[in-house]
Amino acid sequence: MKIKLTTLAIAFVLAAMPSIPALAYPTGQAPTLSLSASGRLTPGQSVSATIARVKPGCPVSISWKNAAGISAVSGTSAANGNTVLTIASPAISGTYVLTTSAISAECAAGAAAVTLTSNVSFGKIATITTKIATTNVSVKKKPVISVTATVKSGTALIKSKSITVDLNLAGKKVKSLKVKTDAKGAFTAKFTGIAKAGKYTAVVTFTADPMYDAAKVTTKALTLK
Amino acid sequence: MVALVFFILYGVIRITLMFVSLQGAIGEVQSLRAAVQNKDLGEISRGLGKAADSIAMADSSASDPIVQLFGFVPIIGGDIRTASIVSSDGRFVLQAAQEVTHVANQLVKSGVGKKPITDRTLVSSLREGMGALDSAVQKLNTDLASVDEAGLHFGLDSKIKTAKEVVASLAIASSRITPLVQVGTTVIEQPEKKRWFVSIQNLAELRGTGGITGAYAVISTENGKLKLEEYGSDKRLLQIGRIDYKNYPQELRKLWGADLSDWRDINVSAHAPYSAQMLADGWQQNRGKRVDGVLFIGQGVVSQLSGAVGPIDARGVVVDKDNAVEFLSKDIYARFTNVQTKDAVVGELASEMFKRLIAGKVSVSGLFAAAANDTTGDRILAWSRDKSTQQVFSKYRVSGEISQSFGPNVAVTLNNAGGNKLDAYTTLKASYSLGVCNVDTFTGYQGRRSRVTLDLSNNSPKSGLPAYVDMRLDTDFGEARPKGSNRELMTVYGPVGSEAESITVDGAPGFTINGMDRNRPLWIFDLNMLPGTTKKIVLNLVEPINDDNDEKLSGKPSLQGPVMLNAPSLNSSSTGECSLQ
Repeated sequence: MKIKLTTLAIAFVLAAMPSIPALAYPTGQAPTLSLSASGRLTPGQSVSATIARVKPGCPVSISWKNAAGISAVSGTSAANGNTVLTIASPAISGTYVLTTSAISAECAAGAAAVTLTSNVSFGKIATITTKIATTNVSVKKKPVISVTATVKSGTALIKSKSITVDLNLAGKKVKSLKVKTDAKGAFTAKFTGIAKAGKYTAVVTFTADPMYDAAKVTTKALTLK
Repeated sequence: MVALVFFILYGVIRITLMFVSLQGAIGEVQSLRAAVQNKDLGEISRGLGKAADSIAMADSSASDPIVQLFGFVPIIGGDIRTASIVSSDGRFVLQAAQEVTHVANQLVKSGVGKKPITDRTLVSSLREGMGALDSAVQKLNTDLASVDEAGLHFGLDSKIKTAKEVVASLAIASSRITPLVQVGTTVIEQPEKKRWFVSIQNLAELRGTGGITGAYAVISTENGKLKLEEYGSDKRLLQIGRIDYKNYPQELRKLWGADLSDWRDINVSAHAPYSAQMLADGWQQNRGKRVDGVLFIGQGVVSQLSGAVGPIDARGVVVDKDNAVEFLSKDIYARFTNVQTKDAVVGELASEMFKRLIAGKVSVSGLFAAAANDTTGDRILAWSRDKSTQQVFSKYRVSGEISQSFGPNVAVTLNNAGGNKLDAYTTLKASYSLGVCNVDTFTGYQGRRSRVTLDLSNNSPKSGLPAYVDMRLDTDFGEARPKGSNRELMTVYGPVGSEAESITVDGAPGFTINGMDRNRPLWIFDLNMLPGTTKKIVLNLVEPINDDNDEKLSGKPSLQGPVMLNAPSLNSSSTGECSLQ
């Protein structure tokens, strides 16, 4: 062990000792976009943002990249390099990109020109547990493919919500049904008229609303002969 | 009645045997002193073997259910239980120690490090043996700590008090040396030629993996033989040029941007494999040579080696295991204000240390003593381009990975954003507690509340520091910047699927740079730290208790603190397991 430690240590020490007083250099010099929102928000809840480390007197604005109908908010960086802005948020759940206007190299206080972005998520996430089954694996015996699912978010069952169920054959949509979840957050979609053999999957889609973010789940494959 | 007499008689005999065997084991260990002084690994191994045999007999008695029943007898029950702990735990310690010294002796005889490895299993045995020894020592330490020596008799009280102190020191030393051995043996056993970049970090200026790279070494290994290819300072790295980081994960680039292209900031991420791979890629991009692995070490490791080689005198300053960290982190800047002189001093120190190491003037007991006294929060981190080797590093928890798995895991790192050496005065007290159940997360899971509390302190003096230590290189936006002030970027990784209900800095709602990395939410705090002040950050989280397969998550909360000069105070707790509904 003595020799092993020695040999390894040689390399470490040789390099370590002559240069422990290293050159100093600060991390994080570029402008930053910080938010008051630290988790998922309720749709419609406004968002406060601080754009920091921008040369005083520079114009800065924020806007939503993928949300229509909400105006950009503008300001000017203060003496401490900060610009604090508050912007309205979309009414429908989802993840939206909050973006700053382009900050020039001059305004970025020596750092490169930059446009800052931050993803902000609204609404709860729904989880969908699915099963796909058939009355018969032979297409000659007029099988009925049923897709059952439960939609919930945590312990909350999501009731009376519209769900789209697409039946795909070899990845291509062949049929589609619209269903609603019951009081237990469950539904069953039954597909009839299945004439072709092959691998079937179902795609269950939950459209975003003011409460829940969009969700999409694909079932396991079901092979009919 | 007769049965009762036999029962008592049997118990007394077994207990007597236990104490006698235990005494024999202690005697064998004490007789090892001469072998230790002579650095005779073979003799140490044989002596440990005898001690292990004796303690195995004591353990046999201690494991006897009748003896265990006597542990409930008033007055002497505590003595019996304590002897039982020492017998059982001590047996594993001695057996593991015997195995480690036996294997080490064989490795030394085979000329490992100088000659090709002839028996690869020896190297892996040493690695596994050190792991087993460390586990045994930690268990003995934990169990001994629970013993109240005030209730012991027959002189056991003073012996256990001493044993507690010795074992506590041994546990610290073992926890520090074991990772070094695990990494060292993994590096040395590579059969094909591998090139390793060693990042020598200065923990007085913090980065995600520890500190700014102050120096580097490039070593190659091939079937047990080591060769130093090159070493140099960060000045030399800067001359090499910037690093192309455009192919790294978008989130990483979004979080740290241009910092990733600079050798001085390349290790800002808390996920060490990112930093390691960028160092390796940067070397290859600019020097055209493939790097197969990267090791990160700091002043803590250097202080341990200082203990191994003994005190060194350099221009009137004696550097030893007791002052190496303090000297290399703080005192050197005050003592040698001329940069060239300062560099010459450390060069002389390195040269002398190197000579002693080459000459084999190494004290294993000195290494252990230095490791036991090392109060830094330094730890070695290792990365390999080879997936199977990386799995080995990951298994030994030296990979510095941010886990992508579900579970109650929080990680904290710090990056110096002031451009100075003030992190020699930075301390962190962190706690992570799991709280009430039956709360859904917004992210769609059944969850529970948890809280992360971070007290970050800048303990630097307000005057008297050399300019090189307390300078500010970050852009001045007119904020108060008295001498000793600093700026820190604190990154907190929440558990997978968690979210923050609220975040406060010193009681007020905090603005954070939000992101996702490695499937985990993270928050970066940009903190201006005046000297002598503490910032309190509180994150109130809701985190999942089930995963994507609706499987219940269990396990104790894990809080991974930063690699930093002053070891962080970390504490985690839980109100108990939550049930899925």
